[in-house]
Amino acid sequence: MDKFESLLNAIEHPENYTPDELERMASDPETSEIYRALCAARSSAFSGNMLEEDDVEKEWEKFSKTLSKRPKKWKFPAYLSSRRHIVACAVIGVVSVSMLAIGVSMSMKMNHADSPKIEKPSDVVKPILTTSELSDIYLDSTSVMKRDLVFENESLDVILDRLAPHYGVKVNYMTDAAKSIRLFYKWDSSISLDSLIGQLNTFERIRLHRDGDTLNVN
Amino acid sequence: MATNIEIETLFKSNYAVMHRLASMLLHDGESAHDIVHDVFTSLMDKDTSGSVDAPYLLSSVRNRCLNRLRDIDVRERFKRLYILCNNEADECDDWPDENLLEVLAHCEDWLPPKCSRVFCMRFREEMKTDEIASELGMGERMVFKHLRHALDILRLKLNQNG
Repeated sequence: MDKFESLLNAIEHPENYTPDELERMASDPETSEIYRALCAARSSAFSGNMLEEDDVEKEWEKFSKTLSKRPKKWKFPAYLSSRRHIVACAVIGVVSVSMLAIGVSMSMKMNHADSPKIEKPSDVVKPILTTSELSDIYLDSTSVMKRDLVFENESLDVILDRLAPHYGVKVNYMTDAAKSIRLFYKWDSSISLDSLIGQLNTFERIRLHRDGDTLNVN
Repeated sequence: MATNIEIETLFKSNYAVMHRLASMLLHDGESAHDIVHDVFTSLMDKDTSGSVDAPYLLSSVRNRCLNRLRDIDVRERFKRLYILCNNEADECDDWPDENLLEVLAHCEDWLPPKCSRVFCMRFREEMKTDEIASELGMGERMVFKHLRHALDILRLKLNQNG
């Protein structure tokens, strides 16, 4: 059975192959070319399906209903909309919570003398974001007090400089042009480095490749 | 934040072509609607300021479709003939090629008649081998032979087109 017969078999009965075998088949240049053409053949069945104006209008009516149901996004009042005011409010919030935590800690020490000793406030309350971390979030994000980061039309070098420490990797740019590629990207802090690489590689003109603890950018 | 009028203008100008791309990638018109709606929903919280255009929207559709396909088991992807994208290559940036789509949509032009019928039934219409065999009154082994022959001719066709 030659490789094209194997390909036909794999498409017909993929359950007879392991994921690794299928991945290897997909990586072979000759098989890959034919596989992609067959994908295109399948896709060609949809290529002529251009929606009519009436259909688009119906979809807009559906979509516009979701617009009216969206909760109004809270915005800072105009006089507080500058970054300085936002950071100032964040600092006041952090200090207030810190004072409260220390107060709770001292109260617990006084009331529970026989309980295991609480050494640090952080044993009582969750670690809170430092001011620099908060200002980092506000610097580039439209998401208020979220751990995800939203990069809006941000250059790739700024994005990777922000994310690389999280993954413990260094960034190496093979070309200067790569640094200035701009994109909209929402980063979920729970994703793995491989997932991040996969997501960023779906953007046009971005190619990341991991080499140990270095992220190479083409 | 994009205004409703800006969103409406972008929506009505680009929806059809975005839906077409999503349909071709996901092989499903209904899922395509979901993807396109998601793209426009994400625009609601962005400051568009004239930075959103057709290429941006199509790129967003492509990225969302490819992300969705990556979550599907590779065996299922083979079965459904979903495009496989290697993370380290840019082979999916321009996929599908419109010229190739045009060629494949008219496979009767370059395949022998019965071969072309079997090829279209299997890969465009996603019929199963036994269904094709039953429809055309031939054995499944013959269906396989026609498909195999079609792949040989397809390979030559691709080499001719570069």
